[in-house]
Amino acid sequence: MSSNGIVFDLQRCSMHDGPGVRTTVFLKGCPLHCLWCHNPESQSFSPQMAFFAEKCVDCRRCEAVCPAGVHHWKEGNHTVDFSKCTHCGACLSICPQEALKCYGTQMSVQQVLEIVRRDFPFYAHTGGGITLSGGEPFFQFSFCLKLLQNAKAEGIHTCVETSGYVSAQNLRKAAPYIDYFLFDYKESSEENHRRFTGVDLRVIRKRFIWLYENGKPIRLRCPIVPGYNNTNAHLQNICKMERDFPLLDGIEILPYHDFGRSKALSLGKTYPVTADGMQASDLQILKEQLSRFGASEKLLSSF
Amino acid sequence: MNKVDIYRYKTIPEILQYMKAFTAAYRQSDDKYQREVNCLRVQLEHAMLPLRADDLLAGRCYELAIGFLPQSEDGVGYYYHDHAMCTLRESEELSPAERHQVAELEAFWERENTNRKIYDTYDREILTQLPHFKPVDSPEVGFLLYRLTGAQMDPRKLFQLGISGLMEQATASMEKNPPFYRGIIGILELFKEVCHRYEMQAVSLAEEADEIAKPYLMQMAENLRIITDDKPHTFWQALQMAYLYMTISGTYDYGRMDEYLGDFLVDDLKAERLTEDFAKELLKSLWKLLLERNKIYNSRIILGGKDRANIENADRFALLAIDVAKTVKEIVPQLTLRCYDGMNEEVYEKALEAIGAGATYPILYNDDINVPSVAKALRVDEATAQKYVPYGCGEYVIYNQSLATPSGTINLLQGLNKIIYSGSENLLVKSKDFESFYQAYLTKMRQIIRLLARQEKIEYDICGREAPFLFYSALMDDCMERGKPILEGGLRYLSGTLECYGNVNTSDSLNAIKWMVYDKKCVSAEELSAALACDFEGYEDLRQSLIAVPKYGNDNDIADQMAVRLHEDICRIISDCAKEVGLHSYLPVIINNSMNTTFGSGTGASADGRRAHTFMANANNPTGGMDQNGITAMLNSLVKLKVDCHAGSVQNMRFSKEMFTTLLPKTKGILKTYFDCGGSQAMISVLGRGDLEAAMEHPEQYKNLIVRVGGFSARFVELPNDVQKELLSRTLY
Repeated sequence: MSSNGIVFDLQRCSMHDGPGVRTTVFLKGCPLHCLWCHNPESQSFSPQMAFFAEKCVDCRRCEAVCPAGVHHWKEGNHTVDFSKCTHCGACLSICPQEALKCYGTQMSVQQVLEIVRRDFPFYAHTGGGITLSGGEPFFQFSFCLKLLQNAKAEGIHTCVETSGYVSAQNLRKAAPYIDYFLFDYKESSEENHRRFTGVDLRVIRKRFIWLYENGKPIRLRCPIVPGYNNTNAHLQNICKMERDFPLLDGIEILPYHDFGRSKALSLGKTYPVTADGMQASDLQILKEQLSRFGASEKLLSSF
Repeated sequence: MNKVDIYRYKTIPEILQYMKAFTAAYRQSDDKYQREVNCLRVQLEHAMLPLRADDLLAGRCYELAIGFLPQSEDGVGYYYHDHAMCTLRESEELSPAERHQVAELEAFWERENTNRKIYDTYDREILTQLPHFKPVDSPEVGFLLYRLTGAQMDPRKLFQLGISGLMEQATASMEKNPPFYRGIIGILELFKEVCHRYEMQAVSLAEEADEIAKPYLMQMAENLRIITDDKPHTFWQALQMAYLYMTISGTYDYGRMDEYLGDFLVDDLKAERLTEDFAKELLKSLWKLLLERNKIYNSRIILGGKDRANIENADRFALLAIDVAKTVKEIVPQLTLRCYDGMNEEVYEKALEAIGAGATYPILYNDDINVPSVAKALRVDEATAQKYVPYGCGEYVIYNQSLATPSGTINLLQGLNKIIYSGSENLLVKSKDFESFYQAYLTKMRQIIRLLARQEKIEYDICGREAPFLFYSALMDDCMERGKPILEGGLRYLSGTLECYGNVNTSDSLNAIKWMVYDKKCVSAEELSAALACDFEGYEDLRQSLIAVPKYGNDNDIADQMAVRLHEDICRIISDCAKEVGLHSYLPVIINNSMNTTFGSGTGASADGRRAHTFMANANNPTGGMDQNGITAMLNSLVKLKVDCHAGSVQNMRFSKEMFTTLLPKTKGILKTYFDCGGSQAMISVLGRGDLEAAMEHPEQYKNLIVRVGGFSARFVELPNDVQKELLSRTLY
């Protein structure tokens, strides 16, 4: 296997993905399939073509250049057969409207670091660094590990945003090179967790406990999705975690937004969550609920 | 620019009477010193507006149809407003005889105004190769400006000597240059007369006033009486004296106020003659007067700087001034803070607090970078460079020691387009490689820049020949000692500047040309020229490809290197002219008012993919929307442009409110890094997402939304539509 990774986005000056100013590297591939996934382009490990129908002006140039017959017009509408796509890229460069886009490019560790290094002085003044996100960064483990090792060697603070659904062995291997964890906590009931994300909560719990007991700085991130996990039981559990794990660097509530929907549709996927993004009034209600269950001021001010 | 409203304060007969009196005063003496004094005497009687019962400071003025000012709306020195004369001539209130008098006055001032005298001195080269009297949105590369702007004066000499002391100094030096010193004494008499008139007005208002207002007016009368002859004893008196003198002098900028008022403030507070609250009231009154004076491109008040002798006291003033800026939230004064390593943290924190509250002030300058840069660019030693102060939209001068008026502007993008749009002379088609094309461009720019430099010196020389500008000469360093007026050897550093526009669109265009025509050969020179000439009609694909070429502002080495190369070449071409024309320095200023929009409207489509007649990028900032890698990348690009080869460049940044609330610690770190890495300046607008869009739609709900445009702040809803659109295009971080 080459030492390249598949990166689907690289965001400089990221202000919300860990301490300080960060460069967030989004790696493709995820073992979870959260129903509300806000980065559906991260789920598959392979590069993917995306089609944004609202930008298309029916010039049909993509149809003309595509060797695999992915693009065709049915009753005047641009229809895309994603299963036929070979990711040759011909349609992307010909589209005048940027209605077609490819998620995922191969990058080497050095290519990524070349960009990450550019903001080194900003990290120094803000306590920032590199954040690996995804997808699940551990899903491209060897690339992820090399990136972390190299970044550490260069004195760059490292952070990983993880679902926790990773192997114990890999976590042990990578942990010495990770300064900070953003750890997702999506649902408290095992049954619901499997239904919402497709994976077993018990694994995630074990990894979390291991990291916590090994003194790693962790910030718990809890997406709250109306109609799914905004239940009293889950919210109560979040507040309990705050009490049970006092050494956490914080718990952050991530109120649901629906940015994932259009991306999912552009990839030919379905998107089962029908709720709109949470509004100020929803957030107020959520704050009141959490407050009733004993959430701290810090937790309540995280959103 | 505001047109002078001649009817605002005077009736037609009053205006006519004034003009006749001013003209008679002008004709009365051939001695330019006495002439200036005589003319100013008439002018000040009419131009100074009466005190109002709620003013805490005296000194309002307005611009008359003819007069003498270093910088008027229509020119330098002895000016006349042709539109105002025209309005007057057409007035039905005039008798035929009066109409005839107006025509005579008009004919006289058409010959005698200083702009005209400068114009009459031009040689053939300047006359034929630089545009004259053309609107700024016409497709020209260089434009001329007639003004003597940016006197940043230090009033401490006034405070130390008082008017009487200064007069004694002039009398004692008399024999060195009698006409000069007599002139100085003359204008100091005028200052006393103005003080006295205001004192009497204060007394008469006090007589009518209620019990609350009465003591304030009596104190004002007392203040004015004191400063008529004596040194100021209190903060209020010092503020009154400095403000009044500067207003009368015609400067629009107010110097290092923290330094010259800090000691008075602290002494008064200690002696309990003054409370902080009342000091703030005084500053609010000043803010109001500056707002009424309506010089939005100037009105600088400078705070900060390591070289201040009284840092502790000065910072006390700075804190108050920033607090007032935060509370009042007005578009002027342009409160400016010179920051440095080791500065009082409280002042810096307060500054960020005001910026975060949406004040757009203070504008932050980084002394640790600017002082050595100014030393190099302005060719002075470091101790002198410590005295640098920005004025106007951000041009540097040495406090009380130099002038550096921009007498010209250059549209670099128009220059580039001209050599492509020139039919059979199209240099893009003629150049076999990028290097020859680039050099051909620089050659064209050099030709125009040399003429602009020569014009600048001519403007100074003729202004100096016509008038000694005595209010400046009395205060600015060396003039009194040398017995010479500012423009005839009195001033220590007579420098010039050239306002540059379109820099970033030019470098992005050059980069696109290099990449698309020469390196990748994606498009021929002929096809690109044809596409530009027709504003990309039928060439949308090509336009998209041009837009896709890397752009400055993304920390992209290819795009940024071109920006650096162009920046350094243009700076060098400009600064090389200083010696040739006889100026201490001649430097570019990459500042901005809203000329990026005005010039853009006269500039055709450009090779960076910009459509014809649309705005250009502001100063050194990336083209709006082209900086897509976040603020750290944008700042990394910015700091690649050297700052030791120009006399000021402005960096506008738009931050979301979140960056100044929950994310403030990170934002502080970003600004600190930017300054550490070589950032020289930051002008920050803090906005809510969608604020500008909403303000365009519902202006009535956003009357107080202040934005930084270029080198000035404005209420967003009061800006012209095209300027609003340009602001909308800028990236919000």
